[in-house]
Amino acid sequence: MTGLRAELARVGIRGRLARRIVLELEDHLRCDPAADLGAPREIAQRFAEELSVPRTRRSTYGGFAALAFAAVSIAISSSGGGLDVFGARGWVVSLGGLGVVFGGQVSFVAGVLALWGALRRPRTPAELRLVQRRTGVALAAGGFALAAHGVQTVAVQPLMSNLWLALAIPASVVPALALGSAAHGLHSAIALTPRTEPVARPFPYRAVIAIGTAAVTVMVVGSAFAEHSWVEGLSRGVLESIGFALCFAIFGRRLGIRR
Amino acid sequence: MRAETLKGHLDVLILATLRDGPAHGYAVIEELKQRSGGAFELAEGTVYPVLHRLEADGLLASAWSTAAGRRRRVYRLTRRGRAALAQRRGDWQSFVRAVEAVLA
Repeated sequence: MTGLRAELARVGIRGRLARRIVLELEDHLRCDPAADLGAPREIAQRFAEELSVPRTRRSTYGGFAALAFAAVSIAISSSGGGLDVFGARGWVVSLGGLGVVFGGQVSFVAGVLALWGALRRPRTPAELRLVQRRTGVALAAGGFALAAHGVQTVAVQPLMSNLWLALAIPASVVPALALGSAAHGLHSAIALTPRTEPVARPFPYRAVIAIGTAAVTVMVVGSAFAEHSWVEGLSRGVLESIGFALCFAIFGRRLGIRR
Repeated sequence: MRAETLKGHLDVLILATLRDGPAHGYAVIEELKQRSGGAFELAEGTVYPVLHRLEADGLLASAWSTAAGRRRRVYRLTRRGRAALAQRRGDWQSFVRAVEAVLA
């Protein structure tokens, strides 16, 4: 048992869980002093492999919940007039608005892919790595959107009513804490998973085109109705299609949906 | 029996071992050995990580208990664990029936 604690720490198992494992195995050896439990490194590796499965799933579900919370928070505080993409209130506000839209969409797509992967019950380290990578991208993009929302809030502060300002500050801080906690969970799942290349599951191009078309259609129709202008809807649709193509090119390989 | 052969079935075997009541890790291993007539003599080090995973999945619950001055982690089936056991047992029986029908 001497080296077991160190080996458990090496694979990312520490604290109460490590103490519990050592106590359980010590009890086993008291029951059967001749038992062959294996070398400490081997035992620690087995625990890491088994625990990486539920930890990855849990961190993905936790991450998705934190992102959903962040999205709702941003949506509520933006309904007071915070979000502005087209520069009516200055370029800082506009950049912040673009950051919220861009980060939010990347986060949504990566989060849905991660959730889909986790629901399919991944078992091998390569499958787990892919889910972890998608969750990581979703959390990073969600954090980016949240930071952009914070920038916007600071920039539009003089124009906001006190009530909306009081709402906007916790709407940035509380979800940031939730995302931080989800990132911590993901980090511990990654530490347990053996290092290997994630398995890629490329999407057929037809599916990518169909999803892109659906996203652009929603943007065109939604904007046209919201702004009472088809010109506005079409211009946002063009931006959406450019953004979609760029994101697929930049993040597709990292998310395991293109070769 | 080779450990590799058992690997895919270890979850259901452990769940079945705990069906009759709570037990600690050593007792689970002994029960497996006994019920299988010695065929399932597993390397001890493989069972504990699986017990931990099944607990993390919510199929088992565990708590410390003290017996004769010794602290032991005792595992029991949860309601989800019972449901999972029933389902996997059904799957296994269908599989066995199908294989037997092919081999007959």
